[in-house]
Amino acid sequence: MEQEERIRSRVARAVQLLFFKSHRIPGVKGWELKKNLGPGYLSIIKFLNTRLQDLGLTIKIVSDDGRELSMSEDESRLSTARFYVTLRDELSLTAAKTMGWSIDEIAGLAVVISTIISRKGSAPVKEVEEILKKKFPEWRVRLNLSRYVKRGYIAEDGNNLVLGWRTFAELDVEKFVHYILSA
Amino acid sequence: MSSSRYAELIERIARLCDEVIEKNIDPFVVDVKESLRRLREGLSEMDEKTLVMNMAALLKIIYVIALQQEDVKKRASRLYLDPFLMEVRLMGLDRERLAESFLKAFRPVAENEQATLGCMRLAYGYWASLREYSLPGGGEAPEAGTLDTLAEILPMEEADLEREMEKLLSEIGRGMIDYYDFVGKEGEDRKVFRALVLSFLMMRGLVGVVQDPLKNRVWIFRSSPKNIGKHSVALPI
Repeated sequence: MEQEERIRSRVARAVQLLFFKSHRIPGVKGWELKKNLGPGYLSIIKFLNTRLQDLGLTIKIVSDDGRELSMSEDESRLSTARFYVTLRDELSLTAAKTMGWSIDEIAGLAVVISTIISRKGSAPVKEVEEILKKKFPEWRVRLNLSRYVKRGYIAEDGNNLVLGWRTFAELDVEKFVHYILSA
Repeated sequence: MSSSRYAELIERIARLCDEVIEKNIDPFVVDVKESLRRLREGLSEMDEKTLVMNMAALLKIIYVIALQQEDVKKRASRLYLDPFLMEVRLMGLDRERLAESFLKAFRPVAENEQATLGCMRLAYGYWASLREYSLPGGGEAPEAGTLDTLAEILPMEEADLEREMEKLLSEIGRGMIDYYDFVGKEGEDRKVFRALVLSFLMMRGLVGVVQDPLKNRVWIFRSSPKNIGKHSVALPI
């Protein structure tokens, strides 16, 4: 009984850590989970993941270099990786709109991310702006770009744009490229 | 060839390598074989300074070779896309199709925003950098004293803040208390501090707020989280 209570409180603590933003970036690092939940933190996370899956959510692990990791990955890689809770299933356009996105914003982000990927992960701001201007009103281009930067989807690297932490956390880049090319 | 001619030639090679390294352009614009041949030319005639330049240019060529290798790897991978072809593809898709393609691979993070000391530090940094501008509505620049008070609060540890919250909570009795009397109780120096700590108590639902817009009065009272309605109130101090 005591053991059950202990597990329950650890799962509750894991929920707090994963959902409530305590840093600038959401999610929590593997070492932070280990510090708070103990050495068996992965079992707690796996258990929580099965419960979250029933609710249409899942735990995603992203390494420092933006790769998605599985829970069976090496301990040292997991400890520096970030754990997020994300939606498990695809979002419809209507659902995205209710979350505050407009079609133009999503399409613009798709253009920006595709352009950056096609330029080996770093594209000059000017080039990205020029491509966006061909599809969207000029006044919207700068506004949308600064929104994407603010939300963490892209980041400025001198005069270039690179993919931001949120793109790695929320987007399956490989699948995205496939969908764009086969649309 | 004179040493100055060699130096000029080496400089040109080094500059091209720099362009490739710094501006992230196609590393294959550097003809490595030809550049190495030129650097090798007249090695025996070069003075010491030109030899050092030669060595530096050689190092840059090595870096370019590494970039070329990386490029070949990327092109061989499934993720390589020709920028021009991608642009043509993007231009050919309408906004709905683009959005739909994005959403198929998009799984947003579930997160809960909350005020943390980190956020407060960020906000403080923002306001401190706007010091010379007036505050909206007030028409006056923020007082240096106010910012100093914030600067004292922000490095506080969570545990200290918890203690201060408990202290303030114990000062609030059963009845209603005037908000401004309460925050100004310990003088102007502590006013901002008390207001900030009180705002954390309000956020947790431990203190409630009632406003009388006609009399321009604000009262606070002790509450429990379940009894309190969720709304946001801006209280100028």
